[in-house]
Amino acid sequence: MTILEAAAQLRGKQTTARRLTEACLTRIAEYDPRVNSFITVTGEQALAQADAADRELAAGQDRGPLHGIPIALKDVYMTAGIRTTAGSLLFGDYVPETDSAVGEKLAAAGAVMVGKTNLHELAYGVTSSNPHFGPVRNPWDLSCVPGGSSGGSAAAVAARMCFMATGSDTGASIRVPAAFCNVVGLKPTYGRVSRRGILPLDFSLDHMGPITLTVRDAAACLQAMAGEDPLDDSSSPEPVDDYMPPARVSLEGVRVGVPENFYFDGIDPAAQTTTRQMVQLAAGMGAQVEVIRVPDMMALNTAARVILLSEASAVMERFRHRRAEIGDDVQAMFDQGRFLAATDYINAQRARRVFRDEFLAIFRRVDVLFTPMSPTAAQPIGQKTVRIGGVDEDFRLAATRFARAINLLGFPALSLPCGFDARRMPLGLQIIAGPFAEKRLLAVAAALEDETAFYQQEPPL
Amino acid sequence: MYLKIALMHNWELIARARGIDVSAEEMDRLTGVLDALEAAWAPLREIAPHQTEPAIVYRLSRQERGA
Repeated sequence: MTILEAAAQLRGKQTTARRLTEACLTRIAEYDPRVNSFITVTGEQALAQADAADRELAAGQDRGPLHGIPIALKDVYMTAGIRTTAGSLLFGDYVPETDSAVGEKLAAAGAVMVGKTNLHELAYGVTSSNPHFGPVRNPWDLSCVPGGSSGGSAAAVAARMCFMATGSDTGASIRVPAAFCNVVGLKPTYGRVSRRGILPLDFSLDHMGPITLTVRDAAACLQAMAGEDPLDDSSSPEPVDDYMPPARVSLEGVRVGVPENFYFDGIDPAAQTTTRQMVQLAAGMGAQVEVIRVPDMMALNTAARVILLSEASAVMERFRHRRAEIGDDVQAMFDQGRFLAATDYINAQRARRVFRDEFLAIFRRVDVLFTPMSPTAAQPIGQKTVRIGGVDEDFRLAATRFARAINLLGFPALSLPCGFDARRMPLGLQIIAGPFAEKRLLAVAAALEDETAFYQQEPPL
Repeated sequence: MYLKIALMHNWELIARARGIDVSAEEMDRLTGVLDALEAAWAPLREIAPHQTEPAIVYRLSRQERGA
């Protein structure tokens, strides 16, 4: 069931927030011992919140589509009185006194929090194979990773343990897990959703957004999460649109750009086929497809890596004497960042403006770009490399190859389920739009989803 | 496509100079990654025009005058 379906049932008195919450808690109890998508389950508190939501609805106080809907927060979102670990021993006992800005907004929208989701340690990686809280397992194949870093959030939504879970995306961390788990992941424009109260990995590349079953559910969640936050310097005063796509969306006249370079090089044939099928579908629905040439994306990825390595190492500098408490892969990246010069960091931030201008020129020609979300689907847990087209590649770099540059740009991007590979592992289509064009992005994605409805296929748990 | 020019770095010396405390084994693992990053980054160091400011946020408002 989607958020919008549950919301309709709540208002039609066919269900209650308590029943929805109990159903999610039951699924968590049944499936999470295998999936391991939660670090903390807040069952009692969730039921109390659900009862309060039911009382408000009965009294005619309606907070909107998230009222009474069970959700989860990635465990980098601070929660007052509830442990917030970032999937790390460094924060193993950390109990914040305040909620994140997003948590406050979701609570104000009436959402019911059922727990905190597992993730790649410190949100710094793409597997979610957490050495301290155990690996998150992909509901589509428990021997595979769910992607990361928001792997617990994507797995929990895919396994129907909650209706939405928040993610944070510094280089792929909402979109790639969404693609690997057959759910929708939305990375909004940088500044659209407040970063206040998120344990930071990075400052200038971190984006907060929802992971949901459907595009319209993502729109409902973004509506609740978006808006200016005077306490977050990176927050934007741009007005918040009405994000919900209409019941019938037309793609007539929408200009879809399809890159002729980079995005289709060295990818799994299934990623190629499923992406091209979505392009054909859009064209058949009236979209104007234009083949375009994108700038040197590896250059953008490199600048993004310089910024991420530098900022993450700066953030974690105070923990440099606690190496033994940090997993090897994450520690290695903190070490790499400490080798970079300050001038490299500054010049990467200067190059960023050059790349942004190049991409803004593209978005004067097209409304959205379609690309594969990743070159391959999820791989087995513990596998460090992936073989694509006969070439072995570091899995972390391969999985983020099409995502990382978009964090550098700060533009909104969404991963939409678009099919399966030969192992029946899910694949995603990445749709990218210009700054603050989330309304159009969601409308295009909804139009495709209305035709394909991949979200109706459930993992074989 | 940008012109690729890369200088070799002695990462071990840099580690010592900056007080980066990593074991010899860790250093071995880091060297390849850092060399690859340096090779990719070197040609991009100077692509921004001279007057381009970094995309780093620092904002002041009237409320922060402390009045």
